[in-house]
Amino acid sequence: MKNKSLIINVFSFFSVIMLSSLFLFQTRCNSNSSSKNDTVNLDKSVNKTDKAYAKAKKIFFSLPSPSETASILEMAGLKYSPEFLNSPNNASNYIGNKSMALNLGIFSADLSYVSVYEQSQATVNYMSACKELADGLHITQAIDDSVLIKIKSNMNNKEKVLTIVSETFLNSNAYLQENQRSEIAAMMMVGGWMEMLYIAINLSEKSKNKNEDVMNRIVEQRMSMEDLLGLLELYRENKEVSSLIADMENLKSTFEKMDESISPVHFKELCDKVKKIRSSYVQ
Amino acid sequence: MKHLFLLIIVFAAFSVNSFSQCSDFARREGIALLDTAKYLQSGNFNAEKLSEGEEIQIFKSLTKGMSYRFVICGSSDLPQNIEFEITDFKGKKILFSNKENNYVKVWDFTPEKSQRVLVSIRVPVVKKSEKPQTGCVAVVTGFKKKGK
Repeated sequence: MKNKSLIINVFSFFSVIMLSSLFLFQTRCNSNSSSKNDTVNLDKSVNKTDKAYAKAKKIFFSLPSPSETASILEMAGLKYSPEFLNSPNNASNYIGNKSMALNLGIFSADLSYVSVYEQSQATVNYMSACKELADGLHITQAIDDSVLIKIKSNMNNKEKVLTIVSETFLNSNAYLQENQRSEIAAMMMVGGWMEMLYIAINLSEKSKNKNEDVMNRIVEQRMSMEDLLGLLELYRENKEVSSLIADMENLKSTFEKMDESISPVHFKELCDKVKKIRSSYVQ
Repeated sequence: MKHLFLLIIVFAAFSVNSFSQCSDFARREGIALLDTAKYLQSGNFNAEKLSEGEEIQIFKSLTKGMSYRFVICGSSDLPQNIEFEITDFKGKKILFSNKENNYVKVWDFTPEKSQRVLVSIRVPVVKKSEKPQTGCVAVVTGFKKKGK
């Protein structure tokens, strides 16, 4: 009787494994086909059956980290302007996975920005804000107290601080993915990407003699937006993610108007849209 | 029923752990090759368990004026001549192929214009067998710090 029960259990176990495998296979196939079909190309003439999309087991979308975008702004010679950032005091206002994930991305971008410009106290404040949201999202392992201690003890070492900040963002993202919470990771990436674009736009507007380099860098964000869209498409079934896809598609329609040249009217349209979307995220 | 429940837990734990192992591998081996004294990591961790003959692809946007480093490495249970190729995003114009460069694991690149690229990584089939070798492949990208 005992043997029979064991056989049934083993059979059930293998049935579960088979079903799980089928499910995983289906998910993988779906995600691959979704990547193939939904990957948006800058060049509309690209044939989607191209060699590039045909044979990969999996397609990833690697977005620039906020530290990279902040470094680009610094290289463009733009001065530090903290007035555009989301106040770290707002951290406790965010409730729910979407709001917390978006604002973890936003605070991570602000954190990267202040650390590139060597603002020690602001760096600590933004790291604390990130930690508060990470706790709310139950990813305390990615940003624990030791990170804050490391930041404080390396205040005068810009390079070290930048490395810690960069690692924190990437570790949070990796931790979410490892724990099958990739949708949350994707939402966090949207927050980070949007905040850097928002900062760049405000700095560009503030700059007396319009910095052409910065305008170009802003318009070029269309490329990373394609990657972001590709990433979000993998989780389109998730309602919260699909609302972010709508935001991105709204921006995309304006980016497309600047394919040939950057007209002031279209650039302003882009700036207005970014401000409106970002405002809805930080509310 | 109790046994089944325990076995499911073990199975689930194993699945999460194997995913996490590749991510850990990316952090350990990939970051070491990146040389964090000179480069800051850019983009998320991209790691995947691959078998001989399998391929993954990564889209990445590069900004004019920045210097990038691409690191591709595979765990010791895989053939060491892992191939990687960097092309324009359509996969047509080859910018770099390590097949022509002694299967190096690192490539540095400073783009003259901002562009979107496609990185393709393939584990070659060393010898055809019933059980192909399987292991982790990690792709890490970084950008050069100011003044380095």
